[in-house]
Amino acid sequence: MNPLLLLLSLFLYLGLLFLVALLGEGRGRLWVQSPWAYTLSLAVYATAWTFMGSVGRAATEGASFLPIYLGPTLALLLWPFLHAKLLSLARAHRLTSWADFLYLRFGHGFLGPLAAAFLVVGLLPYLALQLKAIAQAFLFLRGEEEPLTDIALPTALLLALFAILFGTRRLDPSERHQGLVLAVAFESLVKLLALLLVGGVALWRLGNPFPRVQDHPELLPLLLPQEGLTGYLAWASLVVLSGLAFLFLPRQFHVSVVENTDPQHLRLAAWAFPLYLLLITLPVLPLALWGRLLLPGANPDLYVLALPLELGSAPLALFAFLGGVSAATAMVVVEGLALSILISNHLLSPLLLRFRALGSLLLWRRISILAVMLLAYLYFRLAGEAYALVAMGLISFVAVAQLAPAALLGLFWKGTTPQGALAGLLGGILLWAYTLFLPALARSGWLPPFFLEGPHPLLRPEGLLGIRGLDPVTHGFLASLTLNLALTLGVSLFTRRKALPEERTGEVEELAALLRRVLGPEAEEGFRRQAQALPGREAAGLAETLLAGSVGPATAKLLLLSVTREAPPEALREEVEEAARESRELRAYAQALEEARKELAEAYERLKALDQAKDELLAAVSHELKTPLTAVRALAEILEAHPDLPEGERGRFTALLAKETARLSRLVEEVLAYTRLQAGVPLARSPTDLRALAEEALALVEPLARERGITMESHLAGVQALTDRDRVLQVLLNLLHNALRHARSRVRLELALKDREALFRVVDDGPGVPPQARALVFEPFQSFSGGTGLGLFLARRLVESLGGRIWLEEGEGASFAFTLPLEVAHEDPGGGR
Amino acid sequence: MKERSFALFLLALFLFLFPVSLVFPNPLGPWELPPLYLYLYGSWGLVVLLAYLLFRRP
Repeated sequence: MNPLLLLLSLFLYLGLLFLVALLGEGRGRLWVQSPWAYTLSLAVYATAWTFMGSVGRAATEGASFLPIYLGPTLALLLWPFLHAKLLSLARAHRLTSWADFLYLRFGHGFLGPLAAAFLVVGLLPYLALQLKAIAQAFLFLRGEEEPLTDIALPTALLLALFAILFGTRRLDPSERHQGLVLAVAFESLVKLLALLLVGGVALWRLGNPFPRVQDHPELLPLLLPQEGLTGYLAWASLVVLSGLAFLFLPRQFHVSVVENTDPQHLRLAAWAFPLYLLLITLPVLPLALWGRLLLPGANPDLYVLALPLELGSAPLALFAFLGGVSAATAMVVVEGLALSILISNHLLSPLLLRFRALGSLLLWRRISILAVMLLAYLYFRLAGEAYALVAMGLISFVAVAQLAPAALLGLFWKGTTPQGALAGLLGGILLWAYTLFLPALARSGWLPPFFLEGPHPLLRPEGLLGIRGLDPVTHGFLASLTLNLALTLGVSLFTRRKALPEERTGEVEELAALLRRVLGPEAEEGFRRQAQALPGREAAGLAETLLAGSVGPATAKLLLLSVTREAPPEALREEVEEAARESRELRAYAQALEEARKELAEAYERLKALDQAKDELLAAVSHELKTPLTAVRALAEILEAHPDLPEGERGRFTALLAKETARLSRLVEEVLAYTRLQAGVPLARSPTDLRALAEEALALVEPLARERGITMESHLAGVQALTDRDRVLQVLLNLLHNALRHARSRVRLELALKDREALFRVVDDGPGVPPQARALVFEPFQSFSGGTGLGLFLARRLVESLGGRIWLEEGEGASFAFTLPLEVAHEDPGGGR
Repeated sequence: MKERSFALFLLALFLFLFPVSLVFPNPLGPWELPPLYLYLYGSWGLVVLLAYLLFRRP
């Protein structure tokens, strides 16, 4: 195949991946948060090993490729026990890896770095496998015999660049990378479609391979189970091993726990992800058999590419190549990112803190991704060409399984001690290196054959205690995990549990400043928002959690030491909290008392003012009553003393008597209205047609106007209001009577709607209010025309009680205006002040 | 939920770790297909179906 076309396709595909990742960080955020994206992202489990290596393994060892996918199916069925617990722990403590969990659970300063360093070393074969798969496929399609290493190096650098671009944009305490998740989900679809298409085309063009196997006895064992106890042990071990790998691979922890946005997504993943694995493995055996039948001399790991070429379909081979690239890219990028977080949290951060260079953590994380990829390339050069793809991957699987005893026992058994966890992990690591890692290097010629033989026949690395017949991976797995588990359990039983780590407490301000220094202003703001209502102990815990997500739990604890102090013991703390609570309650009580005292003082002042007003009112009313009463009395005495008064004189005196009595009567009416207002009679609000009300008022004063020869004019707009009809009528009558008293020839009543208020205006053409009297015109008993002096005062109080205001306007004559709200929300019931 | 999930796990464990060599001694069976793979994919499919029925609703 044309190398330029291959390269162009490769770069176009990687460009497409970049676009998908960008989409995930922009408009495609909703897709990323769907359970399907989560489920597809879990398929980062299916790597180039699945895509190419499984066909290779099926072609040489038959059904033994299947346990690798049955194990994760079993592990996912346990999600209500395992993942649900992990997700809640990860959310509460911002866990980014199993190493974080081990540190959190056991508090042993050495466990995290040991687990991190071991995982990096243990996963190098697995990363090397991906480089080998891409390089091998590329060279195969080019049809050239160049060394693999020439292609593997640029591949490693390109994938490192991708991981750096989408995994290390910033120090994010949540460590979520939505673009990356969408890219991984997209790649999972591509590799599934590619493998199904290659398998489908092969079956369609070549037919069912199984009947052909009967003519090839050497292929029959591929269709049969492995025989004997060793065969069964190998099968069962692989199922358990792959289940553990699914749980403990850093990239699986990253996509299933760290990138999880909703724990409920596991419901879909629990059946849809096993279905994905079932579908992607369906074409494996037919392809393996057709490869053995048609391409007896070819490398079985390349059957997926070779068969389409054999069928004359170069585009299908190219698509298969891109499927393999997808599988490898997704794995390398997510694993590289997960390992860089591990390295950064447990190895780099403590060192950088010691050298006061924590600010360069992001740069170091990028460098660590590059370093991991280069180390993987180095491993590939050292040992890669000596092993088939699956054999390399299984060495890594056994490595990550070493975390299982400490982590699973730590999750479910309180008796697990830090010493037990450390002993188990160390024992497992040493035995893994002795039984698998070093022999792999020895087989590649990079170590002397001694590492395959061992110092004694009973200590042979691939057959400890004289065991024969087990394949190296099964042997290494059973031996290392048995020792690991035995040490974890045994040492835990004979050591004491460590006391719970001390709790710290601190001031929110200092904690926020620390977060700003280490994580930046965004993290500081987020912390301030969450920590506002938290006590010092919980605020310190929150700050530690946020820091732990970015710089690792050990460094977070060290950082916090500088700005916090030890929290008091539990009993003392309870007393202190109780005292603080009582103190807070006392302060609140004292504040309430002070407010009540102020209210009482104000009420007393109001009462005093009211009392004084009443006295003044009584005096004023008595004074006002005295004048007409004196006149009535004098007139009555005159009429009684002079029975012989002429008829005309008597009529004049009687008219005067009637006038004074009417004045008395009006005065009493107004005083009564005033007292009703003071008594606080509640408003009787109802929907009122104000124009009709104004017309009614005009009709009532019409006889008086006619008597005085005054023309009544009106300009009334239609206005509806929710108000007390009788009070408004009284105000109008008071103002109209007042105007009629002063008018020379004309009184005008206006009603308009202005600014969501009803505006009334009563204008007369009289002499107007003298300037010196304008300020007093609404005060009680301030009469300038012989009235009672209560009319305008009452009008003002009534308008105010209705939520409106009244005023005297400038201009010729007198012009009184008042407003009324169309709806009254809060009104003064009319009580005096 | 937890009990049923664990029961399904045990069923799957039994199906996947069943010593198939005792039952399927022949490479080819019905429809000229290998009985070993028919069993493995059949039991796997059954587990997926049961998991779907168990977990589909919150």
